[in-house]
Amino acid sequence: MSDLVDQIGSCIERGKVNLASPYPKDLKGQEGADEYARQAIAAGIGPERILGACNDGMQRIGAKFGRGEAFVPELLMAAKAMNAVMAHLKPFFAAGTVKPKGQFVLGTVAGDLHDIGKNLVSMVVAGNGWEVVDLGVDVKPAKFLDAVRSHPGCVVGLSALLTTTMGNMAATVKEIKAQFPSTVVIVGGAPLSAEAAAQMGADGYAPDPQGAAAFLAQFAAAA
Amino acid sequence: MCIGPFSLTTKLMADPITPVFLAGSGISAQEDADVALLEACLELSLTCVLEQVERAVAAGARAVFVAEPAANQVYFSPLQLAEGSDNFERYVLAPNRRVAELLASRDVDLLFHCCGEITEPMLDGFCSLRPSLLSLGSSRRLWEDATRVPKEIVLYGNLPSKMFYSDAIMPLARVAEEAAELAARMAASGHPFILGTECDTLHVPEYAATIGAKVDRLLVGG
Repeated sequence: MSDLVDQIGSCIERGKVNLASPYPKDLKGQEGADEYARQAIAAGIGPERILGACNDGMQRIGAKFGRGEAFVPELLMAAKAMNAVMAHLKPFFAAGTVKPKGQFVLGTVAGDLHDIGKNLVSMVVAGNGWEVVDLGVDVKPAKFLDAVRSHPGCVVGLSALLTTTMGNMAATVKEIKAQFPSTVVIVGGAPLSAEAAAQMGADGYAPDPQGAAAFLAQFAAAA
Repeated sequence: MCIGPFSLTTKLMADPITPVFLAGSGISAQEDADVALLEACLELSLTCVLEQVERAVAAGARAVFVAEPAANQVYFSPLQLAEGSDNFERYVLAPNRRVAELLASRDVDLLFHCCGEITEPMLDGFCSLRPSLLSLGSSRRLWEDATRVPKEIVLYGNLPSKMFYSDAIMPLARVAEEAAELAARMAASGHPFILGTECDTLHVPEYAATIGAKVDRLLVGG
């Protein structure tokens, strides 16, 4: 049984999504994260252990990313493999059998259509056991406010790649804080920095997906 | 000015990174529908770019800036390239070589721009297009790049204009200091160089005066 759990983690780390996936080439024609997750559930392995395997796999590839031994494409493939596992765990989350660590409302701010960074953060954070509410791109402040209203206690993540949309990010932070002062907001994106985040009133800044996951882990530990 | 064929391709697809990566691991268009889509989009993009360049030249352009911001390590894994993948050649260099050849045939200069994070082999690839000018992002140390860029290619850049909006991160004095340091280092390198910014200095309404002051400072002090 631990083999199945190990296989899930390994498939995630290596980006092996499923049997049909031709990547990585040395695992072509072999089962992937999708199949192993299905087998693990059928074998009675609890969803918490499977989620743990997701976490382990994403942590390992994330560590490689941090050391410059893996890059965005490798991280993306790992996240796709993890998503395949998460699809099998959805019923357990829905039934309350597995409780997410929290809710993370995420979106690219108004005027900005870039989503690569946001999507990576979404996948890495989900792999770390959070329920992600992805609002998409070009998200107006009102939509963020609606999401916070619908998910009390959530953490909000704002993404922007364009300098021209930084103003929209600052305005969104301001509106969230005005209506929901206790809501924690983290920001990220190429034109940003810790100083810029602090200047706009955000509670944190994440330079990369691992940074976002680490921030949420600290938040959860402190809560 | 025009967007380059690869960067235009990335605008046409919801997820261009995955098929670029799959192709880089040896998966063909015949084996994967997304790789097939990527290559179809690239062909379409190249057609559009060549048409645009033709029209610019016909209108009297003596030089064309081709911007390939997506030709960087977000889309192309350096690990995969180091393992021998030819996807950078296939999807960035080959199509841009067609653009470069068109411009050369019309005696029009190619000015090539990539502000993304790149590796040395990617830089070498850009140089192989024989642009008259190469514009790079703020992650590069241009005086170091000067040692591998042929002298007939003018280097341009690369102050961090993305940060001009913030006086906390990039105060006015620091713009002047970095401009002076860059100019001095490039003069010492002996490589032809034009001082500029890494990319567009975008207009941000609330920060217009802040950004404007830094651009003015750069123009005066550079």
